[in-house]
Amino acid sequence: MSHEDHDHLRCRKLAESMTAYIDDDLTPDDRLLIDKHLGECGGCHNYLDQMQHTIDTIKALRGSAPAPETRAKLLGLFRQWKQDREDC
Amino acid sequence: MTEPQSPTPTATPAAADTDNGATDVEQAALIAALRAGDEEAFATLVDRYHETMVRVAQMYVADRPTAEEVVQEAWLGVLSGIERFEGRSALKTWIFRIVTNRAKTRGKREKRTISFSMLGPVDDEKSGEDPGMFLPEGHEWAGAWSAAPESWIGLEDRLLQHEARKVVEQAIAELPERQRMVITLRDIDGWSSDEVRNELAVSQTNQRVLLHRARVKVRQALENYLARREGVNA
Repeated sequence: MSHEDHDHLRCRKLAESMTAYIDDDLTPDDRLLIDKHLGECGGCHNYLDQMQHTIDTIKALRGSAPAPETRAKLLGLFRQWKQDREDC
Repeated sequence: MTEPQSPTPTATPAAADTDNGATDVEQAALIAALRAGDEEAFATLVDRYHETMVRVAQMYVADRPTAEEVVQEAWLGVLSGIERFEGRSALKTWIFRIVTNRAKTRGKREKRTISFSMLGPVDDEKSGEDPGMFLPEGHEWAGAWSAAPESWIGLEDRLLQHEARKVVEQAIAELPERQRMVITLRDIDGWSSDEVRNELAVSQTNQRVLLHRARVKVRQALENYLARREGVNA
């Protein structure tokens, strides 16, 4: 592993700022500093890439539509609500 | 079943509806259709939000069946309140406000003490990057990687396999409560940081800290999983 001149921003500090970086929640100066470090440090570059892969894998859990029986039950409630409303 | 409580449409400022890109026009059309008793409009909302509503409710009640009950009540609350909904917040925000209120009420009844702010200072939870990943204080390169992270490029297929998803699910289930709440809403359900701040009444900084710690743990779980796979394939 090579240690180029990035004393100004050690990898640990960058790793801790990764979510703020990904969320674009940094001052332009801080962002520039991180971009510069990422360009020089393969480890941090890979860490960012791992975090992005992690987020993508989490996103894959995103639920689709509810189970058919749940959906049918809710639509039944809707029909009942509509009926009750019309009866009023 | 109790009469649904009157929702409070003014409680939350409109949050950007980032989740499904619902536009104002689409929202207005959905509301009008719902008021007119259009089942398709209701089904659209159910498909879009039901699973997330259950996840949100689960933060406040004991188990999934209770959360399902709470959400069913919340849907009735949505239907009974839609006539009075003034559109001062996004429809999504309003719907989730109803879910949260009901789930909190139910949680209190079950004496489940769950309040985000009652869980103590965020910094009490020891977590974040493992210090062992970095060279220690006193070292010439203190704070640099002790072993540089490896590239995951080319491993996308493995990461999208069912097994990897199980690993992620398990890692999230094991997180401290607040980290689990934040990562669920942000990364699974795709809420914006503003939406999460409103829902959980947490500062921007704490939200980011919690999200980061949660992601760090899930990343670690995936790294362990990939290393195991490597071992198997070697």
